[in-house]
Amino acid sequence: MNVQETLLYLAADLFSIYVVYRFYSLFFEHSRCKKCILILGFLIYFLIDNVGFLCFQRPMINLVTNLMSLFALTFLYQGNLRLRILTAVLIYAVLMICDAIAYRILILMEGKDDIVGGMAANGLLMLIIEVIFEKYMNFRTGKMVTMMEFLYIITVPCISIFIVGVILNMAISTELIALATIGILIINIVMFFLLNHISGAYKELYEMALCKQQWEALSNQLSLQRDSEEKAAALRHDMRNHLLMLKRLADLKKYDELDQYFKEMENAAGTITYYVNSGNTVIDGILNWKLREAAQCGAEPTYTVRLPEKLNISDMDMNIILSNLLDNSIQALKESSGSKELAVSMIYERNILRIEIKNTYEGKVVSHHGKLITTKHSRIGHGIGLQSVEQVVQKYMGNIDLEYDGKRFCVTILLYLS
Amino acid sequence: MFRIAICDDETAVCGEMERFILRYAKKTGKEMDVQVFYSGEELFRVMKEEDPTCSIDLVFLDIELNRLDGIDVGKKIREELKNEWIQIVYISGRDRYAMQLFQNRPLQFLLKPLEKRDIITVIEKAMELSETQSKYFEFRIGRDYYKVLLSEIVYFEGNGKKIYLHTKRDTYEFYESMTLLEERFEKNGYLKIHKSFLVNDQYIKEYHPQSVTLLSGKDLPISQPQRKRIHEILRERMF
Repeated sequence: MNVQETLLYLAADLFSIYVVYRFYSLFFEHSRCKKCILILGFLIYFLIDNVGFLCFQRPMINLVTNLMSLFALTFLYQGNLRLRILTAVLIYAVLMICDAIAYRILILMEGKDDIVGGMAANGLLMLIIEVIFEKYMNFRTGKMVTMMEFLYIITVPCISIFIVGVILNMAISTELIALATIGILIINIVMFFLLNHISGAYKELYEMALCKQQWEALSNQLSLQRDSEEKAAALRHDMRNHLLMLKRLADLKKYDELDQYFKEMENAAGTITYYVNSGNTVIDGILNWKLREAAQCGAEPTYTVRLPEKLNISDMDMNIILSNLLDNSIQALKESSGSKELAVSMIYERNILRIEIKNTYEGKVVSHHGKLITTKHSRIGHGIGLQSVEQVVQKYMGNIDLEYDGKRFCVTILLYLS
Repeated sequence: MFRIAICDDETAVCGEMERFILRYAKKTGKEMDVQVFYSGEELFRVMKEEDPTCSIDLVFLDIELNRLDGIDVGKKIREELKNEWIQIVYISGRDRYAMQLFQNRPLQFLLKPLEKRDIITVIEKAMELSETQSKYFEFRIGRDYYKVLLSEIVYFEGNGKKIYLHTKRDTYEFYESMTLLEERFEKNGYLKIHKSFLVNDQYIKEYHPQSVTLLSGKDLPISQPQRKRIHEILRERMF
């Protein structure tokens, strides 16, 4: 290639790198460094890629250095190891397949070997794919990828890379190579759509389970209210008789019996286990339900609730936090044999909502770097519940703090509500 | 002498609280005086006409009063009487409240029936704050000496060695080291949210992840290095 062609080639390659950068933004939500460092990283990748090609011109080395560079780039973003491996392999697969297709199609169209044109077409093809992905998929819902899902996702592109490698080395016509690689590309794209669909369905399942919980809590709240209304109605109904009786006892100066009568009236009216009445139906519903459950486990729950009637947080988010954390606490209470304590505090002040849940526990706390992983008996999903709590806290730009000392476990959440 | 007022239309509540507070005063040897009001109008009238220098330090103010409710009374005290130093503790029989009550900078909000423990905590906190609030902050501009009531200071703004002292009405410009101010005020309910801003917590209307909003509506930023610290303070403080 002469100088002019080399420059064009490099320019086209730079464009491809730009598309790769866009791919990264699809997979990763946050970067770990400033944008200029990101750009620097991708430029270095560009250099390595082309230096490799121009100096060595051996495909195997290129494959290795390319993969390694892509993997290294993932460390500039926030994520876990699985996501990083996934991204590197997927992007490499796309790169490779697009390269094979673009190059071959161009040969078919122009009848000759056009490296520069091939590179440009490669970039364009990748851009088209990236835009399709961007528009129709939401990779980030699958941020927490389980091991099984990871294996499913990674198998197809890995094998595709291998197959494309084989095809490229076979002595068959260019048309066939082009068609075959297009076919493999289609398989990959279809598979991603499928996976995305599944993870969407998974999410819907979780949300349904959450709604069901909320419905149960509200239903419980309603029956508590109905209970208390009935008791109040009964008291009202008999009020006239009670008053006559009280007057009679007072007139006869039978003070001891008067006292006794008062006590009986109090008992008749006050035997509802109505814990919280903040005016916020979802919160009251969930707290009353869970606190009663805790009481049934043998704990005597204490609570402090100071909230205005309207809180700037959605019912769903409130449900996610309270249900998940309280389920954890109740589970810990069930498993502990010593004294069982549960203390819940929800206070709102000056745009901050502070939720604190303390419970006694026994055994080991499953946590990692100060973040709760999961409890095996989580009612909703496997670890999705706690991940959702973190997502909600992040949504309101708040913090979760955990403290435990072998006897008591304390979760404190601060949320900024506007 | 620490002066407490109780304003509640339920005479039983007033009576019980008065008895309890006087017993507590006797037990701890602290000098306390209790006045009782059965309506918001009466409290306001006495404060305006008979006690203009406002000797009352702390008022337990019921929100559900008969005509003028507790929130209106609080508003009148702060705005019409321009009284910034009296501590208001709202008490309510309903366990929910409206957000407007924060505009009056109450010290605390308690639910009836009041726990003895909460009453004591709130009185002690009010006494602690009163100690500092009746004090003045003195500073010099050129050859003139100025003094400003601590409770009227909204925030200090530092720019090099030049400090701007912002009160509700005025701004004073003088020279002092920000670090010295921080050392003195941080324990008195002031928060260092930024290397240039030292804010009186009582004038903060809302907290945000990266800023605070003052009662006047103005926003001040919380600098990156301070965020974690402020978060810790908030976490501990809200009980």
